[in-house]
Amino acid sequence: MARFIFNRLISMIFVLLATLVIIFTLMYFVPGDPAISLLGESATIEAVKDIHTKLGLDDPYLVRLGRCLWDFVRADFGISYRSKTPVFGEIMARYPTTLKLTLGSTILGILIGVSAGIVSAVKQYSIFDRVFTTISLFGASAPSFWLAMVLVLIFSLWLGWLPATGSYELKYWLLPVFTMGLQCSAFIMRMTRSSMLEVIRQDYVRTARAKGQTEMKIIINHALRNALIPILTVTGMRLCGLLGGSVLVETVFALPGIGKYILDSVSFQDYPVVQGGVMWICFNCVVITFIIDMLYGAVDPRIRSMYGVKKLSRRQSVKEV
Amino acid sequence: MKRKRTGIFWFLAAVFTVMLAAGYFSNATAATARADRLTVILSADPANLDPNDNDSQTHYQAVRNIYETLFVYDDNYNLTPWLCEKYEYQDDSTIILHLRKGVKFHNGDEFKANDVYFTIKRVIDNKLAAMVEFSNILIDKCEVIDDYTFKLVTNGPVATQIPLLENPAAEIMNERAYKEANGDFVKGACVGTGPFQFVSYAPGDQLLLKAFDGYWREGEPHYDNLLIRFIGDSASRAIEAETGGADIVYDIGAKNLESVNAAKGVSIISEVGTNTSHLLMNTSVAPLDNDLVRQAVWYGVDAKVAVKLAYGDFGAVATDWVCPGIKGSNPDLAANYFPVRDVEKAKKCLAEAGYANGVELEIVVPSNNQERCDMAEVFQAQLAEVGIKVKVNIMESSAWNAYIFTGKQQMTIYGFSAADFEADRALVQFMPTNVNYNLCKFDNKEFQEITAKSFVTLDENERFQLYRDAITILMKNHVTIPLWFKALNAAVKDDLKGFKITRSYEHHYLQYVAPNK
Repeated sequence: MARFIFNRLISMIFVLLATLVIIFTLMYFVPGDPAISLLGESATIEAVKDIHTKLGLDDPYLVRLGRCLWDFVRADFGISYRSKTPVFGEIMARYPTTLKLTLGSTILGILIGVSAGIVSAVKQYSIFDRVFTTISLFGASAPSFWLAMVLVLIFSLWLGWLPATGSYELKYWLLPVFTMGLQCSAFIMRMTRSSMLEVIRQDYVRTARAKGQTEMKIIINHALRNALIPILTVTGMRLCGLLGGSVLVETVFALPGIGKYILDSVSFQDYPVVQGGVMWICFNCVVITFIIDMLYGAVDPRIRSMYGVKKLSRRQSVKEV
Repeated sequence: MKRKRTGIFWFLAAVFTVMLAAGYFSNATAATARADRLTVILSADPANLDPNDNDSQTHYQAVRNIYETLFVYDDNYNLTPWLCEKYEYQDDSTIILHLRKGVKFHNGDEFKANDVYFTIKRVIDNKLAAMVEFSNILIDKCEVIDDYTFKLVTNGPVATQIPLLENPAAEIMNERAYKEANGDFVKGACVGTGPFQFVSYAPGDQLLLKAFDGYWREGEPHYDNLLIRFIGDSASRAIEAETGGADIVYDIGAKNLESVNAAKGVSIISEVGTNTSHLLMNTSVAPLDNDLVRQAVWYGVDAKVAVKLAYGDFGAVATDWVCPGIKGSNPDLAANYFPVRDVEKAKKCLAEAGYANGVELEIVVPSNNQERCDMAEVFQAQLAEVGIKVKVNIMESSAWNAYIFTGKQQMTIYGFSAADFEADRALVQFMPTNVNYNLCKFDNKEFQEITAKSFVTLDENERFQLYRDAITILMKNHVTIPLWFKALNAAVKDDLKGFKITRSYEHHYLQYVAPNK
């Protein structure tokens, strides 16, 4: 197990480094000049050159890449061209918003998706199954920005029940969390349904039923537990997707999250922010994937025992030598 | 019994979850009292609170409430002393500024000449964004004569040095506060003389200010708190205006004007700004380096039709090279030099240029500006009748920006701002020393001499005539076709009074806004 964790940590570092090289290279070749964005249209050519020198924008690709990698190794995300403040601080100022939105949506998605998925599987082809499947199809295919605008139109503009933008109190979060949570729940619901359908026809479920266990116990303890692996996988993937992909919802609801910050910085050619923001999201995704991998072992004894067997076979092989 | 205990457990769990959620999603802002607060929505975050290191309207709109400039424009757009009481020219390159007495900074310090010196020196030493305003100042020769008198020395005569001091990027900051906070604007350096003082700043979200009790203008401001929120999405801003989510919402998009206007309790206040959009022709690339081809475009397009289709009633069709009221504007320009569509004349020009069988041109426009894309398509259709096949190249905004600065483009649509109320700010962009020179690459010695002369001519009448002469040369050479006067607007609740659009730099003063009791 320790070796597995060690290997995973090493691969995480490589993933982060590769991401940094890719994002740096992309930003390097994106056309545009941050100096002009900084100084405005009245700037002289001389002033633009000064900014180039000050920011090191005239240095060759490899020099700038080396500087970027060295800063990354020292956990230095650099200074924003636009705000002139450390990028890490700017990201941290926006991180709670993105985290609240992402976690809130995922929790909502799990609650709705798992419950609806179980009901759909247990009552296959019933009216519940058909309704939930239709809603999940809608949730999965409706673009988030469109759904967000429709919800704002109904609940803010027409009914006046909820605020359209902002992030101050619980009521401000209902629409954005529901927008993203509905999409998340759609994927989780479909995965739960198909996994449960596979599991509930297994022999051990029939055995549990023959032993006289209650239907609830059978579904929760025997069926759901064994169907959790694909659900965990899709939940982890959705969580990563929401972290970086919440930009449209953040834009519509004026939520000061990381996604919107990165997008604004792209148009301003604020390279340190784009690199830092993408790296932070990448780091989060890598950690989430790692946690999901750990959870596989926690929920499925077969995976735990697999590590144990490996250890045993290694010891055995030593003895054999 | 067991079932009862389970029930209690689930009840407590539910209560705990709701409490957790309420705490989880709320923040400190919610706890702040909402009474007597003016809420204003801007279209973007100011990015920083440094008064001298940003060159965007939204920065001015936020920060102008904290800091002030030496001069402002009055309601009739005449330059008026503000933190400066009066000024006089000692010679062509020396201005003596007499500062206003009794003005306090938010930290209690009195506003003095050393703060003016510090502000200018910091910008020059660190090459901050306000360099545009201070680039001609010889800081080593400037002098603090006494606490209330400052000698400003420029590198030769600079005609618009006083208007440049009205630019919000030239706001005066407090030297002591800046040094004590080590330049951290969120932790103490954000100290000005303005009507509101800094409370908190949440990047990307909001800026909270409170009324400054020691403000030098008695009776202002009229609100205890000023909450400035930042909403980038135009449709979301419009919805906030319609639902009454804010007292004032800046920059309502052309497509949302009708719905906001129809909403109860809110009105749109609008005025023509200082920015004029033009169809630019690059005079250095073939075939537009031939004046006859430019004339063919000139007579082939109908700007009115394009503007009407793109903007509707928002803003106005350009009737001059610069917006009305800008020094250098010429009411006779339209009658004498503006193009009138004449397809036959355009075809004749094209034939004389050696393109009787037609010619292909490209117009590049940014994808984030739908109105410019619309206008480009109208020009495409109009010029097709002349025999000019126009390829409309819609580019991502950064790529478009980078492309037009290379000088390889043939035509584009671009807005020139004259926010200092003089045409110099637009004309300078045609000079070879400016980053925007490549937009048209208009290499005309006469134009350059007249424009350069206007920059150093202190006599206003003579200077304004030089502006007009330079503009006439641009028109005679068919370099740009003025299209549209940009409008500035804001949605304002009907229970407010005193809000006015500030045309220069669009930094509308909020200290005059009061409840309409």
